[in-house]
Amino acid sequence: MQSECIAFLKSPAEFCQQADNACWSRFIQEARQYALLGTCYFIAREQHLWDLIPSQVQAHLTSGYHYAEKQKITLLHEMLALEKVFTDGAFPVLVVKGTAYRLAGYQFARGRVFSDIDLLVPPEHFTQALHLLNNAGYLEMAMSAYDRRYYLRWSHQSPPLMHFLRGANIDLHHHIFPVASREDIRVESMISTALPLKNSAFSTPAPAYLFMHAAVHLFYQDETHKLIKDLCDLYQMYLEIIKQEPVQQIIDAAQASQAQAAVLYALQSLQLIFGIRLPEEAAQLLPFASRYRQWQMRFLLSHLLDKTSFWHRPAHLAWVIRGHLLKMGPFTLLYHAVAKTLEQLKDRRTLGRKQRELDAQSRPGDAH
Amino acid sequence: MVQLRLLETAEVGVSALLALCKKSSEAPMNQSFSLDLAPFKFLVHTSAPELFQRLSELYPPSVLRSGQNDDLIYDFEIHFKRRFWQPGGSLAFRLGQQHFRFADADQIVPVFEWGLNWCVATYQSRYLCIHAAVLEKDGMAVILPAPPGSGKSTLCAMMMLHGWRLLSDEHCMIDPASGDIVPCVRPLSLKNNSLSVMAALYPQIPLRQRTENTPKGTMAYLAPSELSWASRTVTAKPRLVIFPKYNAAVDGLTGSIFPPSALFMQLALNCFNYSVMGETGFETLRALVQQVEGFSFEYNNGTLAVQQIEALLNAE
Repeated sequence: MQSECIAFLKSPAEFCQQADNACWSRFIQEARQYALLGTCYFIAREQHLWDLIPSQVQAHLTSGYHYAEKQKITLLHEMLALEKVFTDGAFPVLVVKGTAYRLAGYQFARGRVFSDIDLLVPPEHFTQALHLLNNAGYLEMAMSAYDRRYYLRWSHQSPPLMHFLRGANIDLHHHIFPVASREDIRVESMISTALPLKNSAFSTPAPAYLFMHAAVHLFYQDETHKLIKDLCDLYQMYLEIIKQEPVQQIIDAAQASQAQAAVLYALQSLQLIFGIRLPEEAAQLLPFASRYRQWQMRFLLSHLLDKTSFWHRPAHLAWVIRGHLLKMGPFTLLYHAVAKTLEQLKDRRTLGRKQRELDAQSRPGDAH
Repeated sequence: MVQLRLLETAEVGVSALLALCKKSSEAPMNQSFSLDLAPFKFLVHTSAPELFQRLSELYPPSVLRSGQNDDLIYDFEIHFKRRFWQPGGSLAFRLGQQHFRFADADQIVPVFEWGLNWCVATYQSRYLCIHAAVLEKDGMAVILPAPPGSGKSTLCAMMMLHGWRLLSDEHCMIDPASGDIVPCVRPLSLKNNSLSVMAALYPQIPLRQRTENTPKGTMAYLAPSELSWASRTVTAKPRLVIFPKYNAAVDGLTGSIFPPSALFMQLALNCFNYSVMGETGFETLRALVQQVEGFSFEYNNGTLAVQQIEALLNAE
């Protein structure tokens, strides 16, 4: 394993005592790339490790802290605006993923940054929720006709919405995994067991369901660019959740949602990467992933995290293909690949120009 | 969200094949060098062998070093490389996976310099960062915030050539703990009319790496003075804030005083990270405004403006 952020999270004191300058250089780049500077800032402060950290690194952790605190205020402001949209409480509205970690007051959410607000409503109320959001000024962003159809037909969410004045991004979900997938992941029990937020129109998933959702998001995805961040989130979430409730709750959530394999991968990966003790209850999930699949996940993850590995790039390619296959199955993927190829070939001549136009508009601060 | 990025997937595929054929898929022509710009150290990997040579006209050997030194902590690791699928064979400036801009081969120096500005302005909020030039004399610093095209860089260049120490022509970074200005010395970027003005006033001073047809027009760079490089880690106390504006229609120089409240608002508007820094940003700016005097200048004669700034400093 070569990730400095994972090494830091696994054993912060040991990392701070042993890291040399080359190690700190890699740590800064990685923590910035995966938006973990704020998280590491809070860990270093809480565990009284601040003085062990070189001042040059402290400066970046402080930058991450400032950015996360600013985002926290922006999020709370946006949530206040959203309260007014769903105020009549006609159907349950769940905040999920990063926003839920923050609003439910999880300790590991401190210093965490996020890119959008994720809402989940029961599928039968999806159209109604979408209308409410549209009327409140959250509108679809421009995208190609094919992409829009992709969202409507195969995905688990609406095309991303953006507030026409404030620019806040919202993903409105009716499921937690694409409906085109052969994995039939259920959301009913996640919604029915959700915990209402005090004095709010929103609920957050129960802790075990938050973990299950994070596991599905991580182990069924096709992207690798947030892998380390997602693993760090999952690890910290796991440590916090098992203090609150028995591991069996996580297993039950996995079974109720039909996401047993994802949760098994999550627990096994936390054992492999962070050295947690694999709970005995995990044995109940073993029948849902073959030994080959379990080996495949171990192989892919260990080589994805090790940039020096011979298998790093092949593992990346395999992860992309595997994620797409899981999301849409082979026939839809074939159709999707052909359609996207044609679309991109059509756009090929204008790609460079479009990128340059975008570049020319970029301003400092945009990267966040 | 699923977006099948064909070209990027193809790149992953090809590089996977390359990796299978050869353990390291790094092309041999890639070169690494470092820029030790207090308080930030940059490590650059580039596929443009001429970049190091061209930058060596702007940075002294004590700052620009070939290779990578594992004894240093690098704040920003930059990749400025060709990507085979990108049309035009241009170079992409990236910090980690974050893309900044593409650059044609003839524009690598300005895009590189803008890229360094972008790294600092976007990713650091340890210091409150005002979009302003800063120069120092006798331990007292003058902050020159101004929108592009107001003549800020020209005035800054003239002050440096009059013996002032340059701290930065772009980023005025204030340490919230001490209120001092932290230098980040870099080549002074001049553009368009400013180039002819400087060439007429100081024909003996070379303007380097002149580049035509950039998105900002014609660019060239003035190397910082030896004093500026030598003291590039020495902080300075803020004393004056001047909002300069070159105006050919003005007779000589006119000026007005900024009351502290207006000065606060103007500085906040010129900050890169005021909103990001929240309460710390507010407190830092409040302390700064109590420490300095603010003026706005309109002038048609830069020498007069420099003299006036010196007079204001000496008046105290």
